[in-house]
Amino acid sequence: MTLWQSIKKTSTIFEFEVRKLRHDPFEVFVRLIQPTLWLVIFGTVFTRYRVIDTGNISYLAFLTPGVMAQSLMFTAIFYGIAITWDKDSGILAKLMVTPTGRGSIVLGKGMSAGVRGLLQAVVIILLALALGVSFVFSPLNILLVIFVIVLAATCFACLSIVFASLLRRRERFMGVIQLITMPLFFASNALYPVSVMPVPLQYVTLVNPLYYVVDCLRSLLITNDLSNIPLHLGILLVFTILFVFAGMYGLKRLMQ
Amino acid sequence: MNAIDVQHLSKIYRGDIKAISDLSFTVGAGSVFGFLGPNGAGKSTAIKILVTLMNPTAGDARIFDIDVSQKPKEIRRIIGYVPQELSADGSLTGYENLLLSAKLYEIPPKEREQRIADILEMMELASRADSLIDTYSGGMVRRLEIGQAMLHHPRVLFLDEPTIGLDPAGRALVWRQIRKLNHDEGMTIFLTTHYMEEAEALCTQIGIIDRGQLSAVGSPTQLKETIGVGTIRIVLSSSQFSQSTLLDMITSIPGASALFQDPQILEIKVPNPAEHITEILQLIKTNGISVNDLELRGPTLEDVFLKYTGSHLEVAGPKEWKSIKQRRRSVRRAS
Ligand SMILES: Nc1ncnc2c1ncn2[C@@H]1O[C@H](COP(=O)(O)OP(=O)(O)OP(=O)(O)O)[C@@H](O)[C@H]1O
Ligand SMILES: [Mg+2]
Repeated sequence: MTLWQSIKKTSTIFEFEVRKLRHDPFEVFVRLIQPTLWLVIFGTVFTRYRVIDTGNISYLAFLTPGVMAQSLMFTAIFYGIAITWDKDSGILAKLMVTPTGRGSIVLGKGMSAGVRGLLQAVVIILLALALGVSFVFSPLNILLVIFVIVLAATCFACLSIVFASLLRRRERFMGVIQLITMPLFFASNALYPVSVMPVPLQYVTLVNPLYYVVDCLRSLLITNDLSNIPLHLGILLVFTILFVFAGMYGLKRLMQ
Repeated sequence: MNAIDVQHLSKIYRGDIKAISDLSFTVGAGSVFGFLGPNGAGKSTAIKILVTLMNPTAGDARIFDIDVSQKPKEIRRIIGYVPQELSADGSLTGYENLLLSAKLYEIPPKEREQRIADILEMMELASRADSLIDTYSGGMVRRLEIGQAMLHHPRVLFLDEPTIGLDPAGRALVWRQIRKLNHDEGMTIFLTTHYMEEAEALCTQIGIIDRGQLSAVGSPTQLKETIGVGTIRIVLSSSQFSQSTLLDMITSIPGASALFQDPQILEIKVPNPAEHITEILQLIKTNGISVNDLELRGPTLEDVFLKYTGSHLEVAGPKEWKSIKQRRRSVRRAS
């Protein structure tokens, strides 16, 4: 299969996932409620009482990229459940007997989680603007933000596919995912700077993809300090590629 | 040339579940081959191996001389597959489901629309093309799926229980389309079913499968000829007699078996029923009963099945269909 065909197939899978969203946007709207609550309630309260020291930026500005990353992770990490439904209903089997690479299926579906992430990001930014947060709006930064969001959503969605294929049963999947999202969230810089964490936990953040997502978004949107971007984006890319390959293996395993 | 060539195929699932053991058979190009067997016989397992979804534990399978587990990518270009489950995507429209398949099967953009329109027409779904699949009836979904699977003119079409749950009209339509594909395009069809009538109506070759093993293969006529047992069904005028005495008398005829389906309805299976009919009627008369109605028929696939597997095929009714649909609905709702 040529590279061009693979790209076309990936975008086809992606296109139809997005069409599904368009037919039923209810879920997308529901997913906007949580980040709104985080920002409006948690954010404003913590900013007012200066609970966490975030240097020369306001806590709300600090929190905004964290909420973006958190809400995209919480959405994407449950993507695997859609795969198990597709598996049980034969949709996945039918997809897999077409001349479409496993990689295209995993990547196309994973990337579609990025669309939800982008919609959430837009709403969060508008909300934060209304609350007085100011952003760096340079075209390069915005392009990179879009890239980071799609990459991050793909990363977590593929991780989710891996879990779905290992755990098979939905109940087990839900349990395990709920178990891992909290540590991922708290062992990250989404709510507070890494420097306030106990030292052992600081090392854990280094293997936490969410840490890199938050750091990239915060650099690009708030601080405009881009020195860490190449490294952190690179690490995120490696995580994603790893999970895409694991997801491909997972799909095969799921059918056996 | 053989369209399908299967040699010593076995599949053992995790947990040591033997689904199929040592299957060997061939399917000639251009034929309609059907696996007939009860629930759990291993039909779907065999089909999943053939369509490259699963690797066999042992043995090998070839489609037009291409090895299924070694060159799955080549196989996928020449086959179409309709899974047993209702597998069209419920959150897309009928048209979108077809478009998805058309793109994944690399049908050139110029031909796509025409081909999709033809399929919608052929499957009598044109008026509902833009409705979500979730609003289709089970029969409509099935028709759409068959359309999806033949969009790219596959050389072999695999249909796992193509008419499960369809009403007589829907079933007739699907049968007509299957025959048409086979006849007009020379497409080889491999299907599974647990409906006798379906196997009989569609298949040029039938494989009787039970508990993972193939016990007989042949055309419907050939299979029935190996039986030689016909059925006599007699409706008696009263039930005031000893059933066991009558049964004993009748089963003393060599090769005959008999049972009461109802106190007044007697079913007898016997070789060459026409030869024995007078004798049987005489026996009934000596018991002081007369005959209200009488039906005599040659061997059926049911008899064939009974002979080769020692069991009856379960009759699948609308109940089974309902449970499939309900399962699907609940899946959708939960998502
Ligand atoms: N994924 C699986 N894991 C373990 N066992 C399985 C799996 N799929 C099927 N089996 C078992 O393999 C055997 C054959 O199943 P299969 O689905 O092939 O039968 P079938 O003939 O298609 O039945 P049906 O008419 O109910 O569709 C059954 O005993 C079934 O329980
Ligand atoms: Mg089956």
